[in-house]
Amino acid sequence: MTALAEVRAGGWRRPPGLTDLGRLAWVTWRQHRAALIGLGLFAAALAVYMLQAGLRVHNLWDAGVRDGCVRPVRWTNECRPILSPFDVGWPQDYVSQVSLWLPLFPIAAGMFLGAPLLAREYRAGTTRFAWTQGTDRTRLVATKIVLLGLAVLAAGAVLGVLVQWSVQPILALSSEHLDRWIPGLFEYTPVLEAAAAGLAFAFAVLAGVLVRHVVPAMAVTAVATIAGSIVSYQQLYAWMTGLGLHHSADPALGVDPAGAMSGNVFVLHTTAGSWVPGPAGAWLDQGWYTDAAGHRVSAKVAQNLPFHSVRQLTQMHDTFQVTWQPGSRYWLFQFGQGGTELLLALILGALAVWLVRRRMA
Amino acid sequence: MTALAGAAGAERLSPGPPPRRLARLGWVTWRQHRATLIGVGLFTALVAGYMLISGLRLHQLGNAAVQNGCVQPSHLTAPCRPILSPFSNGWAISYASVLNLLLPVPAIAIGVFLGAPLLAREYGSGTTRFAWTQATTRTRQTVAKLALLGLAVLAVGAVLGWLGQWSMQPVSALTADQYDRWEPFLFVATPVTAAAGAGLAFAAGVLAGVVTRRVVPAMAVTVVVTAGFAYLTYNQLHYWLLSLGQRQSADPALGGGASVGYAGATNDLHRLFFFGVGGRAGAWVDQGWYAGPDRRPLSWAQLERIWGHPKLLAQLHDTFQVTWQPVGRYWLFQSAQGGTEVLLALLLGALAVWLVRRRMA
Repeated sequence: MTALAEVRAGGWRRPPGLTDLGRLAWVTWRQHRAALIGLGLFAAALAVYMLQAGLRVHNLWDAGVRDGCVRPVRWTNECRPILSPFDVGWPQDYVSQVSLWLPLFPIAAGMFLGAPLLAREYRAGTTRFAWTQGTDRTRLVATKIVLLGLAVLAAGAVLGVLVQWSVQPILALSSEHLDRWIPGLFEYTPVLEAAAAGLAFAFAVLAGVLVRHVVPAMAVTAVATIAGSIVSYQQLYAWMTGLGLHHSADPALGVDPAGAMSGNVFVLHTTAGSWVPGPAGAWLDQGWYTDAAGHRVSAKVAQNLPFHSVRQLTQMHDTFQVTWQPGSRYWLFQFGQGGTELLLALILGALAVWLVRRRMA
Repeated sequence: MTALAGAAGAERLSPGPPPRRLARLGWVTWRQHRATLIGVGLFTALVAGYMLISGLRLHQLGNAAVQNGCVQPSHLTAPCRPILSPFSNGWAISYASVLNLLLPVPAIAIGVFLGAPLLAREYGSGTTRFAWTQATTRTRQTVAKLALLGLAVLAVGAVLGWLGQWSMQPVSALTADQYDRWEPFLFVATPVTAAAGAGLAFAAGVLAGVVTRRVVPAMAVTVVVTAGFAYLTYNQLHYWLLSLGQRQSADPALGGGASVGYAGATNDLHRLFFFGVGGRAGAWVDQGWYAGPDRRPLSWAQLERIWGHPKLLAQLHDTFQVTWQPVGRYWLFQSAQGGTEVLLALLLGALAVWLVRRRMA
């Protein structure tokens, strides 16, 4: 008797009102509970880490508010013990650690939940049994992918919320130019962490269907998700935030454009705020010096212009131009990237289901 | 006909002298694991290629910096700026950041994809009942596999470690306040420690496979153990090791500098002496604190008197105490860490072999 038939016939203790979806969910849980529990424990460990760090950071912030050390920031002797950790202490390390640990969740979801999902069935030959049950293979596979995918999305969203909550005081008080726009924090919001986890999961399922062996599917998933994280972090982010840039003069920034030179252009990649002149909250992309005629100066000339005062630059008829993204576009980019990743995940998942349908068991 | 008998030639059923037996076992090991060895080999080749190309570019830039008189002391003048800019906030720093994350990955991959499935797959599919009833005993087979593959892993680890260390030399020379060779991720990127780390990850994976006897759980356990160990090493064990046998002395130059921030009574400095008192240039500094005449840390109230007023140090008979390691001890610590990891790998491998012997096929 099949597992589903047993449930229908009441061979197990059957809760009242179960529908087919409920039964399929039960089968999904029974088959994959070990991986779900393992992944859940990993996500829980990350969550506990961020929760305890966030509570410590928020306690420090609350103490700073009570003692009048923030808003505005006052570096008095009384405030130094509260503000100093945000300057040179463990909160800085915590932000680095978050950037290190958070990408591991999508990779783990893909490798240990997605890749073996169907690859194990093919490898062991149980497709000949599992896919000839009371429910057809399409419904079985699609339900599994949807239910497990939703679980992965939810876990990713919760982790993203914890990241953003825990770093809020650090962003407010750090002098290290930490801001929500930097890739190490932009990528770890509820929207993007959930989308990345969903995409990794869907890719891994497809890899499992194509490769039909568990370890190679996990290897392909690991390589693809790690490479995708790196490319997304460095290239795709820079490309995306380079779309529809605003352009204006910023003479104050021309005194000391804090960015690496690439030819005659300064790659800024920082946020305007208390420490960096510019439109408040804007993401500064690139900058360059222009002469009196408005033409970009050469690299050789540009090398000599930093550390001149604004008055000196004006006397030389040189000015500093920047391209930037308004702070208000932040959520537009968030949903743009997140929506694209989710759409891609749906396409990959649908492709996996189509391949399962198309092949003989 | 067994695989080993086939390798020997059908007419030779006697085991033969040890070198030929080892060669036949080597052939069997290659045949069984060639896909994994090729895959892992390709991955490590990619990583090695990335480090080689980046290293060549960095060395070219470093040589240009020396030829143009831009170092010792560093001159961020106009001609030097395009040469030194990558080392202040450009691609050289990005490379160092990427390497920080990338260097543990080959060892983890070796443990997860080569070590964990090595014996777990045999147990999981039940082929131990066939493979371990051949002309060669299970102990000899297992030991030969572990030894041959372990040696290959050590060699690959040594090459990657050498490439990591060589490629980072110009960055260390030009950014010694950030990327000195005592930094955790550079400390493990030497031929000694990288090889030992890879060997330990491999042994941990093999043992996980023998204990769990399932491929995917063994891989999951290996990821957790190896990544966790790498994290502990970077953040705790490394600094514990370097704290052994430290020297302590006063350094007024370091204490008077505005760059010494503090978050508490003692500071984790974790940097090199540049102009150390008493010929300590190049030594590694662990912690520093302001101390009274009895060399004990000052209280917060006492610190407030002298913070920002370094000239008061001498007047109040206070000093800035540092703990440090002499530069000559670097290879002693390298050997200690590498030797400990290799010993641990041997113990884990021996435990795996003992478990294989002990259990029924």
